Amino acid sequence: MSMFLFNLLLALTWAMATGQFTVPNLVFGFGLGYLLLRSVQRIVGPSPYFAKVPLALRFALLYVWELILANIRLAYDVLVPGAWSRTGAVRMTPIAPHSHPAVSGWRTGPPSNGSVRAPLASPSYITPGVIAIPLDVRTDAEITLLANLITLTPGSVSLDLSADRRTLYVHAMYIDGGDVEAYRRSVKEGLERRVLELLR
Amino acid sequence: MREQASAVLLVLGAFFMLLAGVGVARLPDLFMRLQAATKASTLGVGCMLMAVAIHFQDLAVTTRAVLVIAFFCLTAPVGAHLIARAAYAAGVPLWEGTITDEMRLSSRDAQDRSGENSSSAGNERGDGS
Repeated sequence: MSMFLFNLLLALTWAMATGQFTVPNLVFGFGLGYLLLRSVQRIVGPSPYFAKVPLALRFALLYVWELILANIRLAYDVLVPGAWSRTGAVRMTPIAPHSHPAVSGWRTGPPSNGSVRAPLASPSYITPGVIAIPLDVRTDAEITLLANLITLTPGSVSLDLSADRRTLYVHAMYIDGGDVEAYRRSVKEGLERRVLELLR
Repeated sequence: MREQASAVLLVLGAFFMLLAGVGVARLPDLFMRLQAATKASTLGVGCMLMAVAIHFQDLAVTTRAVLVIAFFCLTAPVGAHLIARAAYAAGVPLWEGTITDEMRLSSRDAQDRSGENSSSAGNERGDGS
């Protein structure tokens, strides 16, 4: 942390020395400061900061990329008519149409007669569910960051944390092929692993 | 170049905002509507603010744009999380196509166990999960 402040100070110094308080110049100064601090590591002492800056950058870029991909998927499902009524394909038990008081009336297709429809090949269909994710992250900061990142990703909202702080309940829209285990794994090995890398 | 970049970002931002609205109207249950309303609009706001920053190319405007994006990314998920949690606690039904609800399963588990505990002096605590 102190290393980060030092780096900010160097960026400010650079901006003052060049007399240009513009964003690109400040960013450039930050990069220069980082390189400088890194090269004098032996004097200022080792710090996890040096390894974390590239990690954080890579993580931010990756996350933004995934954010855009997930948004495009959501956009497809929202905009293409009928793209997601195909979820009937993965329904396990037939449910009578309009049996749900809160959601009757949204269905635009022909009323189904309660039979399970055959799976259709579709690039994307919605298979929502509430999933319990066992947590390896422990501290408040780690749990908060993970829960917020999950909520920011389109397609998943963190619903609740269990009382013993070991399980995070997530509402996910895209459980591909109904494979709950695979979804759990993708969160644990994707977001959670990166959060741990970054904060520990 | 600057003009084009900010124009593209503005249109993209407006598109995502529209998407959020259409999503709220079309998606089947509260939890999914929340997804559209939060995420798409966050990206929309982000795109628009970036367009503003690129258009003005001024430190004061850029820092404020960055700040607004940062605060939006901090507050939007917390709000969504709270709404979803409150909705779930209030018993808002999930869409009928929902394939699993492990939260209800686990809470029912706990209820079963506490029921057993109260009836049979709590000796079967360990074999729950």
